[in-house]
Amino acid sequence: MKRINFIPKIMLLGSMSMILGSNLVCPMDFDPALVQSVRLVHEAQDLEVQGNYDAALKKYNAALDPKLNKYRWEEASARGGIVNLYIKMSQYDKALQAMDWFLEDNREPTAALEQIKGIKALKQYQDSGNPEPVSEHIMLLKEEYKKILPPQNWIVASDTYIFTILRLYDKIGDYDSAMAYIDMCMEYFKKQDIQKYGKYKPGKADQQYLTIQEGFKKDKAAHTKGNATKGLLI
Amino acid sequence: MAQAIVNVAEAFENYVTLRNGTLRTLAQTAVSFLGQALKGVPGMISNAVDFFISQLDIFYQVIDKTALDQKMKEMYENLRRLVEPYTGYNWTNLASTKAGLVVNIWGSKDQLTKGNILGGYIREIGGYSVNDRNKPLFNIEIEGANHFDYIKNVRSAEDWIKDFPDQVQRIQAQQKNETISQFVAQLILNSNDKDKLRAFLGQQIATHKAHLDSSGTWIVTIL
Repeated sequence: MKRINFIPKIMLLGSMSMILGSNLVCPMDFDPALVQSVRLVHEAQDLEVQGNYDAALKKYNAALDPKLNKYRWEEASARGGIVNLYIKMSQYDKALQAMDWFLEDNREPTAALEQIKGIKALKQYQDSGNPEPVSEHIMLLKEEYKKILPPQNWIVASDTYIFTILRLYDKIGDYDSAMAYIDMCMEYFKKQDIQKYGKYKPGKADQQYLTIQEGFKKDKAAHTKGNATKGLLI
Repeated sequence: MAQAIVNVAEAFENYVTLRNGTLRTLAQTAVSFLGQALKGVPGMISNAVDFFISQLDIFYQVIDKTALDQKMKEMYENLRRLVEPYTGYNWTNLASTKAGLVVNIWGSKDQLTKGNILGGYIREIGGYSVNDRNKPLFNIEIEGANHFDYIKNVRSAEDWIKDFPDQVQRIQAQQKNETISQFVAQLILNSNDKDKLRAFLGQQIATHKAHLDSSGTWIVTIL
């Protein structure tokens, strides 16, 4: 039996910790189909961040096997992964097609429509070479989420939007704006640390930002683009 | 090893029975995990022990702060003494050395979360915070979930009938439990990595099964 290697890395608090009465199963008794589906998605994500997109796509599609998914929302991770893969591969028509699933049975598709808008901006850039629609979308994201983004704030959800913004910069090769944005985030982190701990305490998250920064520097030097954020899960 | 686990389970039970039923469930958590480990799942024993110790560690801190019961401290120390030689793990500062993230899950209809006595939104605990990029705390509220919905309820048909004599209500309760527990299971399975968890929750936002509130809590509406 394959070891499910997630338990020691997390702590579950609150009421979740208090639920295991004698007539309840423990959380290790997961639905095997669900475990298999999540494992396939994780394998796909690992392949994706390594840049092995074809293999990742196969894994994401395998996770969509109807036998592995009991409820519709269980497919969201794999479907979202496929969208992101197509964006990484600059196959925007396919990304838009894959987004259709997120619009079905969706009472308030604001987030999905926002994502579609971003993909359409990338498609416009691809077709015309004009980065303006992408730059406008970046400004829109910064404005929409300013309350949870540096320099105002950072919460656990913020990276989703920060990484999306960085990916857009990456796609249009706007290295300088991307690096300035990372610098601003890092400056915010330093200030927060100094306020809280009296000194800057860099950790894994900081390293992740610095790795992206390094990617932008390399892309700029080599006149390439699209490499700095390919290791990110969004 | 097996005998040590039995000892731990017994010590745990003995201490926890000194307190109320809420704390007793914590003991049952331990026993449940240990029982699972004893079934011989390879590689699972240390994971199981790690897991319930990590839960205990957090409750220990909370209880220590509120001075609810000295017995919890004793129980923690006994547990640590019993388990440490077998795992080689230093429990002293688990919160800062082991877990990459903390996930705080609760249901909007869980009576235990009222007044944030147990569960509910937490901004910071055990060194983890909603604002800490390196020790992140994820708050996740599941709309409509009560205290018994987080994990699949396997009570007998007789117990279901006893608790829900009305057939329609019983079926609704069973379906609700089935749905929520499946979501929680998927959530837990995605909680081994900050980026994977964030991606998972982000995709749920795209389907509008979740949204972020102003406190940064993911509000999940799957029912």
